[in-house]
Amino acid sequence: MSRYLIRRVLQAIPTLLGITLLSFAIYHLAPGDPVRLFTFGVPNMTPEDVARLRHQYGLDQPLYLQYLNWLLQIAQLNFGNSFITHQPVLEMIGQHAPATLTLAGTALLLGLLVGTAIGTYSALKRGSVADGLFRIVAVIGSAVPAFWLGLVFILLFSVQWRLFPAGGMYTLGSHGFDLGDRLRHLFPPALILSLGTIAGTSRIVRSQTLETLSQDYVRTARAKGLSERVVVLGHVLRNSLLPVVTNIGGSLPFLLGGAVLVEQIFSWPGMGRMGFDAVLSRDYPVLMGLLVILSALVVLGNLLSDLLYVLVDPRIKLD
Amino acid sequence: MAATLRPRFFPAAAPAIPEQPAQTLWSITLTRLRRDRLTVLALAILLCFGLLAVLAGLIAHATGQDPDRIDLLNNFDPPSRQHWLGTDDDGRDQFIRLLYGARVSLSIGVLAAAVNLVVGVLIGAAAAFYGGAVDDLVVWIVNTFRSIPTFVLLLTISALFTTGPVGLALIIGFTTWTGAARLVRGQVFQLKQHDYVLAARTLGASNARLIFRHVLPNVLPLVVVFLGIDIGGVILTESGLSFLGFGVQPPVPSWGNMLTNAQTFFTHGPWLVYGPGFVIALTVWCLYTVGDGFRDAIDPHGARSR
Repeated sequence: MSRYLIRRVLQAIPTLLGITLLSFAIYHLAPGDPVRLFTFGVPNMTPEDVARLRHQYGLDQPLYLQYLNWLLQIAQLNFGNSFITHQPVLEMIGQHAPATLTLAGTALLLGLLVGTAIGTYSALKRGSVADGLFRIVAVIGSAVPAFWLGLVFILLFSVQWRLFPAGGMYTLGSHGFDLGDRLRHLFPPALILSLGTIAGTSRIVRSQTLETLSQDYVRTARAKGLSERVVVLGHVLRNSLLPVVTNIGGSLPFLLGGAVLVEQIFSWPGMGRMGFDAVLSRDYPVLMGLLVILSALVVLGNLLSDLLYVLVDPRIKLD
Repeated sequence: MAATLRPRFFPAAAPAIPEQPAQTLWSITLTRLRRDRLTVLALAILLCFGLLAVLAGLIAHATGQDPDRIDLLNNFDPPSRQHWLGTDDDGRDQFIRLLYGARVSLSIGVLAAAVNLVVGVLIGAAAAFYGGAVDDLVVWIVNTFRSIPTFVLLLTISALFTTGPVGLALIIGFTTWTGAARLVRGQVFQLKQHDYVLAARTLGASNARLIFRHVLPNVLPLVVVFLGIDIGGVILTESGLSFLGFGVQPPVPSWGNMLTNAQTFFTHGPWLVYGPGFVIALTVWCLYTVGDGFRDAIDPHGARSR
């Protein structure tokens, strides 16, 4: 296990390097000179001052040196300071990350649970009205833009029927931590964000369960006289979950990317909204830091889901 | 064995089989597709949308509407005989703008998908065909791209490089090619093991000829199936970007940017929220359905997934 772990962690390094390389490339291909941005409209700026600034920020060095310097800083978790707030980027991300991780984590959990339940039920009642209905819902769920569903959700449930708050993490002006209030705020964005995962998971679980149900060992379990409940929950479900676990890693980029849109609609104060503001104000250090850290989160998630897979599937022999 | 097989393959006197035109993969697929009512319906809706988009100018002229004419005295008009789907916050006709939006959104979908397919197919095929260091390099790039939340990447790029609709399509195309590359890479790895490729190589075919003449035509069916999901995905992405204000820039209408001000529509004109979302969802659903239908029709085993 430890050898597999080490090898798997080492495999993540080239990917992380690639991510930093791409971020750096975007930053440098972007039109507009950062020094020009600083000095625009500043009176009494001589060309010598501009050159001095360029030297100070290391912008007069060859590109590969600039990249290596930046990489060294990142390795020490120094993502620089925001152009706008002058706050360290890592600190800003640290402030906004919990909100996004709560939202994306809840959405992932909700998506996996609901998706698995729907997929298993559909497979067991194959051809029933409910099966057909769920499949139509799954197709619609993947075709309808999530941000639009979010808008319609707010229009119906918040504006018209006033069942849920229209956005934010908690009721403004409330005192202390109120779990019920937090959950009522968390549910709408998490539900909208989880729809893609629900659709994907239910489709995978349905087809896998159908395949598992025709296996010999399921017939054996039934022949032994086990109740249908034990057969499904104990024998079939475990196998249906394998492809779900494999798929978690692949769905993470979509979950985190989708969070940007959902956070914007529901005024959720996470990294997505922070990124949105950074894009509007062209806050390069924040943008680059976000891109690297969000991608690193995906790499980490992939790593965890691979390890989870090894734990869930006893057939996998390591080394 | 050979002796017993012989009569089956080379019958002494061929029974009179009525003359039939040769059936190709594509003609069989087409026959099967025609029987699949859902796919035909989806294809018909797509063609309708395409036609409406092409004729947007004519329709606007015939109904006396202009997608860009601002009429602040008549903004937020509910649907009426004059404005079928009402007017938006600037008093522009919503129906006509949806038609012009179809032009923009569908073209971006097709163009970006064309770019990511050409790039993905070529890179995927090259990686699998040459293997070794080329493959390692491609796998590295693909893994890197797949770890980056595409939407965040697109948001960053489209914010830093302000472009028009064509530039946007190119940006989307060049950031979403990894799906096609992975698909084609896997397929070509299988195909290049086949004896017919070895035979062609023995006859002295060059690598380019092997790839373009012998391997890629066999990848084509897979790519056609992928096309529906691909265009659908691009349209969803573009609508999200434009909704946030980083995709297609107003006054050029796209289905996404027509929803940018949706939150202010809630109180004044809820009908403005429903239209664009509905056409996006219907278009993407049709594209996915056509893709699924093609997959079923092209599958030689005839396994129906629906």
